[in-house]
Amino acid sequence: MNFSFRNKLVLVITLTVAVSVASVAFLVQANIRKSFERLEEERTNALVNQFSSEFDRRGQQIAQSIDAVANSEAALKIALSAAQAQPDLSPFVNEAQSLSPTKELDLLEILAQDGTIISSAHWPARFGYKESWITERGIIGGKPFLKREELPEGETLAIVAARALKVRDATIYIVGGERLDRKFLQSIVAPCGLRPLLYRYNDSAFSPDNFVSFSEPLSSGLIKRSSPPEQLAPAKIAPLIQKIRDTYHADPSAKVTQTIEWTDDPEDAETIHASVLVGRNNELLGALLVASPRREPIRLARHIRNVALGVGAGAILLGILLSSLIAARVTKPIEDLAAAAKEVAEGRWDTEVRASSNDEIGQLAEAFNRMTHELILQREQLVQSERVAAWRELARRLAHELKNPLFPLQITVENLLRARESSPEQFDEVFVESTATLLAELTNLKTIIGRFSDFSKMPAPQIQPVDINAILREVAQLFQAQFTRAGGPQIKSSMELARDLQLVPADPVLIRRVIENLVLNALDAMPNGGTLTFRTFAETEDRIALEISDTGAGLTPEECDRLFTPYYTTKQFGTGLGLAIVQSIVSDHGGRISVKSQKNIGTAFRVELAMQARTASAQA
Amino acid sequence: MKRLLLLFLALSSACLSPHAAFAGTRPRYGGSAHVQVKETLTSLDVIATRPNTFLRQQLAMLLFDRLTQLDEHGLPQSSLAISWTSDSQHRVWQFRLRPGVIFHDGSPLTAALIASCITTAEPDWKVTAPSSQTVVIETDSASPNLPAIVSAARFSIYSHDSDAALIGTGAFKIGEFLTNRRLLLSANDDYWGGRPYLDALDVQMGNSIREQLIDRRLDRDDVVELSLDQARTLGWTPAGSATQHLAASAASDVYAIYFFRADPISVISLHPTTPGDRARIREALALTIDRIAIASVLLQRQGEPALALLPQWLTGYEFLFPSTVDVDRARKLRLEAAKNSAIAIPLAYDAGDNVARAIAERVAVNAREANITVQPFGEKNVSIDTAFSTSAQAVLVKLPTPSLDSALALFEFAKVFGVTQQQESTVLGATTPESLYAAERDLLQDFRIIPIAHVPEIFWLNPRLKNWAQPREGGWRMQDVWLENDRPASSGSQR
Repeated sequence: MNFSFRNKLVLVITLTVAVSVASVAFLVQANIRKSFERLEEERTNALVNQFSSEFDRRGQQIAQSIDAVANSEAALKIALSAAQAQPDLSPFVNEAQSLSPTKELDLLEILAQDGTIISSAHWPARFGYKESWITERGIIGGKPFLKREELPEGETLAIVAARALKVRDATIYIVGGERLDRKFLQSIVAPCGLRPLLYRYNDSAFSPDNFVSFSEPLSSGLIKRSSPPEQLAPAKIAPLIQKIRDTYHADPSAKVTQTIEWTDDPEDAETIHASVLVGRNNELLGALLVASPRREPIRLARHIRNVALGVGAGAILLGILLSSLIAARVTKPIEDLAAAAKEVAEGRWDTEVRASSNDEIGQLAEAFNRMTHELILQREQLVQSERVAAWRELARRLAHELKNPLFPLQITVENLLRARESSPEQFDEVFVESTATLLAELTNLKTIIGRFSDFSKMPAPQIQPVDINAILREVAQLFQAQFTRAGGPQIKSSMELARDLQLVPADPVLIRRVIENLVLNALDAMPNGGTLTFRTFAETEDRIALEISDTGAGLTPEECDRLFTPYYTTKQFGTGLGLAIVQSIVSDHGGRISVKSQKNIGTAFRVELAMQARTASAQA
Repeated sequence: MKRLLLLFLALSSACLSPHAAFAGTRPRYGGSAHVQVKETLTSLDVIATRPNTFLRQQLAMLLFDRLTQLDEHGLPQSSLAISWTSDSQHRVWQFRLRPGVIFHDGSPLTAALIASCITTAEPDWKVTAPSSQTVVIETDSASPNLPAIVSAARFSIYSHDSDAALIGTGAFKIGEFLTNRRLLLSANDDYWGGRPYLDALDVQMGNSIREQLIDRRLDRDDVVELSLDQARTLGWTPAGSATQHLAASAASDVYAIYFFRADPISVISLHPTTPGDRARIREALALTIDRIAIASVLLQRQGEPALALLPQWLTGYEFLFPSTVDVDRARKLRLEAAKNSAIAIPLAYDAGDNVARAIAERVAVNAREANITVQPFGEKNVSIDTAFSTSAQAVLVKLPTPSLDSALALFEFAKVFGVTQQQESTVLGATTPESLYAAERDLLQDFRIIPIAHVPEIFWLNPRLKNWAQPREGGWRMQDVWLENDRPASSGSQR
């Protein structure tokens, strides 16, 4: 693809503007993204810290509540009963239920010394079952910890603390706690936009039921809100839950962050930062997931992109406008110069360029004008030189041609004079012979003059559809007798004519003359016989070629170069006008003739003719 | 003088004391007794709906009569029938009717009507009235206990008055009925057994514990049905109460789980199960239930572990039923039945019954031992009849002992649970404790019925209510009680 200078200029300016705008937009976006990420990290850390603080605070409250329960009269009664020889603790089965509301505990169990549940507030029906973990070291009086707790409705995570109450030899345990549920999450003041949620790990596979979300879906009332996305599209978050578990087992300190696209709309995506929640023995119990919406960054990035696109488009339009103006000033003289150069190339050497300025372009225009002026002068000199040379050559050839018959004429006339003086008796005989010779030489002179006359009087071609193959066959037929003449060189003709060759607009008489001349040349080139090949073919869609080749001695490259020069001949008795005439005819048809030759192999002349009528005069 | 004064005081005391004693014990006609019960009624048609709840059963006893009635020893006594005889095979029984009995609207009781009512209650029997004073009942198999059986509430004799209202021949007749709220009964002056002492009986239904407590404190109520935890709060123990006026029956009511649905959906399991598998699952569930813990801890020893439907005190053979918890066998049975597939059994219980909720939750905890998930959920006034409308596969029901006659009680339970005809015949033909034991074992063998606990009926009684004789099976004998004095007129109108 060829671009004009103006287009290139527009393209360069446009690209420069576009790249600049894109680069700025990219840098702004990258900076904003980093800022958002930094802000998001700070907000997430703030929420996680708040969660930890709240966890610790609640843990302390629970410990205080448990202490209060342990110091209560009810607990003392139970402990005293437990200290009896055959204790009956069944009357206390509902004691935990009575105590837990007053202490604001979600979970409260009173356990016997061996861990048997005496009373359970959160699962009253579990009395009699054992909580064997209570006897492990470090639990009683220790720091509140996270524990997986079974409830009638399923498992939950809870902050749990335990205390012992000893009376005589008997000990009872008070275990209380608070559920890590939606209420707990809602007590954390989440930074605007962040959505904390919990996932409870258990032995079974991923389940959306294990999520504790910050907000609960409202199904009635004026406000309608759909379920949290982890409930609507659990499959999207399941890999993250598994990844947290795998990562924790591989590297407990590693952090996991992942962006989840909940729907096809990227604005609904959330970046989720995960922090693991572990139990007393560092077992993975849950994960705090802080979901940060991607809506704002995406909207901002989209806004920046839209602004950048708008600015870019405006800048490009401005660039096109400016570049057009610049081009109008810069490229117009260059285009004028290019157009002038083209005209010069086409032969209109008198073309001039107007120099509209004094800068480099103006100097270039002046230089161009000087150059064309010099060229015209040189051409005229050349034409004159060539004309002189042609005349000289014509004179030389004419002298040469005429000298050949003149010399016998002179000899014959001198013989006649000498015969009349020295032997008058033989004069008549000599006269007759000399007259014959004179007539012959005069005929020869006449022929030479006729040829020169023919060359000067080349007629204009009469164009009509011509079947080149037919002409070739006719010419071959015409020369057939000469090819096989007895005593002469034996010529074998070969026809390699293209089928379906289209008719060519040409003058059949002139084309026939071209072919005859080429055949005669070929016959002259094969004094010892050989093969003459006629070939036609469609060279392109709009051009055919005919080729006449011989198997003669061939020509040197220098001979090939000068072959079509008028009056140049390689033959002993040629005028050097035959191929010049051929070239003239082909040229008049808008065609082209070329020659290929190899020494001792042969020579091939190729005439190419256009399918559209395009004579030299038409071109002119 | 001093001696004369002492003599006067002694004579005065002698004269006043018998009077005072007489005033406290002598029956007195009149007054309206207020009764509070937890249960509610949507319809008074206690005949069409099976009287398998306590309230229905008691109302049936007050409003209607049956051919016979049982005494405190569970022996049939005359009622509408004054005598009866049977053939040697105890298949054909002839009852001679009490003459002159009339319905509440004054219409006479006829033998044909009695035959019609009994046929409705037991279509498999052939009941005829060969004469105006005779009814003949013919059964397919031997029925030696038939005179006791026809004393059951569902054999109540009833009719309809000109307004199509239900009428009977009982001691009380229907005055006013407010669905689920209140039922006012008035004394039947023409009752063949003698007019009851009370003029009326005002039954309040479904009041909350708070309303109940307020009414009790304001001295509005005379009889209040208490739950076990209420009774416990009032200091009641099976040994009795020192401070409160409480009356309790023997542990006569039974809490039982009943798989009421047809076999193919009696348990929800992901593993395809056969009827045998489902029976194994039910057995596994039964084996996990720690009845002793339920009785001793949940019921605070106010109830007893129920190994069978009929309590030990009534039959004497309950201890023969297996009582031990066998978790290992339960797990094995569960594994055989459903492999590792999850098993879920939604279990409905009466949402107004705290004891039922506690038992259901404990059953769920126990069932977890065998990896069976029991999902208890409360439904208002759920019963065997209404459980079908829930998503439950099983229902925890509290059923009163239908009779002091163990054969009759078992027969009525068989009717309630809709057992097979063959099982019913077996029960009907049982005359000895051994045969009754075999019949009950047969009823329970596929574990569609899993008894859990026997509990008593406990009533708070106002001190002014006199002559309350608490039957062991927990019924009311309202026709025998009287009120010492009327309450202020405003107290009734405040309701």
